[in-house]
Amino acid sequence: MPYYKLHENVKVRDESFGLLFYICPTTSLVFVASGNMLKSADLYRGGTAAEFAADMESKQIKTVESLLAKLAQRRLLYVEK
Amino acid sequence: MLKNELPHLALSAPVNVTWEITRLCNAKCLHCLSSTRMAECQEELDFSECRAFIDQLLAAQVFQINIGGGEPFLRSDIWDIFAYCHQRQLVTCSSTNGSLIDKEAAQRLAKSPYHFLQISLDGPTEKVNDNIRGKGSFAIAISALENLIKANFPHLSINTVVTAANYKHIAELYQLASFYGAKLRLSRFRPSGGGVKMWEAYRLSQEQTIGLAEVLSAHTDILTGDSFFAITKEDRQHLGLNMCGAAKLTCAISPDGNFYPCAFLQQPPFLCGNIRRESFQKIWRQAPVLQMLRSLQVNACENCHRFDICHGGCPAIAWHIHQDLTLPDPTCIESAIKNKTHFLV
Repeated sequence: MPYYKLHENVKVRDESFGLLFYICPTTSLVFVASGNMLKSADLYRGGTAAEFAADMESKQIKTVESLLAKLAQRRLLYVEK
Repeated sequence: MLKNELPHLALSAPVNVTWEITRLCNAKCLHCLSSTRMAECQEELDFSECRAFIDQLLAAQVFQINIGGGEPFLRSDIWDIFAYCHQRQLVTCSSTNGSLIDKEAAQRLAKSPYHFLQISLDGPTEKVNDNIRGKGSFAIAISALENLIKANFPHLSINTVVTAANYKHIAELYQLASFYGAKLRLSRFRPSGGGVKMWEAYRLSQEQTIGLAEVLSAHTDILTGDSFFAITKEDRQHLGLNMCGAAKLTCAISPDGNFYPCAFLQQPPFLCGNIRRESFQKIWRQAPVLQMLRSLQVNACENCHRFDICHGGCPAIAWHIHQDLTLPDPTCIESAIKNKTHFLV
């Protein structure tokens, strides 16, 4: 299972809509309407989708997996397979 | 997230904070937004107060501090302030006239990946620039640029306040910035501070506003801030958030710790508090002025076809011209285009 962690050049914080990312080298922002699905502290710590979604139903784990893959695609997270 | 939802967000903290860190300045720019206010400024925050303030910003998870003044490098402890921020991975973006950026300073600045620098330059030649920013300021800025390039400073931009005195030269400034491997960043001129006196002489005419929009459409890598979305064409709308960030994404702190919604609204009616006496986060969450700005409606613009990408433009300009935040940005491009059409028919 892929392991995700926040990219070292990226910062993130929790907001009411979900997550707000800040990309340091470009000072740009990415607003992600993820609700309560992911917490910024988890992304700083790193983990697998199953670990991030430990308290969720199996249906939600798929959504978390998909969200993490999208964030990795945008290079907000790095991924180890 | 849909862009139209952004103007209604209430963030837990600003994304960036504009910090006018000193009132000291060795330049006499005619349009300076701070010049008239700085004389009223009380005692500046000392280093220990600056550290405590930075700690508060870190606790609030603010991502970036925009450091200006005055001339920030005139503060004797500025390097300690930078170090304190950068050791904690807090990004700083400093605005300077370049007068204190010698070779040694440039090398020192280049060591931090968390530092962005804007050198103020209002013309591509000594004649254009020095008429606005004072005698000798062009040579000083160019020397700073060259020192920074030689030191391989990575995050460098030339910052230009666009006025009637230099709008014709934006393409040349773009070439000058490209020559140095820097970005060109444009700021809007506002009738604030020294800009009040210069407003009639320096404000862009409606034709000039349209001309500037064409230059910006031709060069999408020119950076803009300060509510430029209200004076640019639709083809640049994907480049930014297209919303006034005051009280929503940003705020401003004066040298003596006064908290305002933005650098262009630093008048008594907009004072939100002082970080010497109240916590930064408490002011951000509770100040009535900030809450008022977060729910501001510019009703007169609601039927405009650009409303979803403009939301009324810059309220600071409306306030400085009409003393009414709820009126449309009086310099918006749509009114310029409409008036041009009237002339044609």
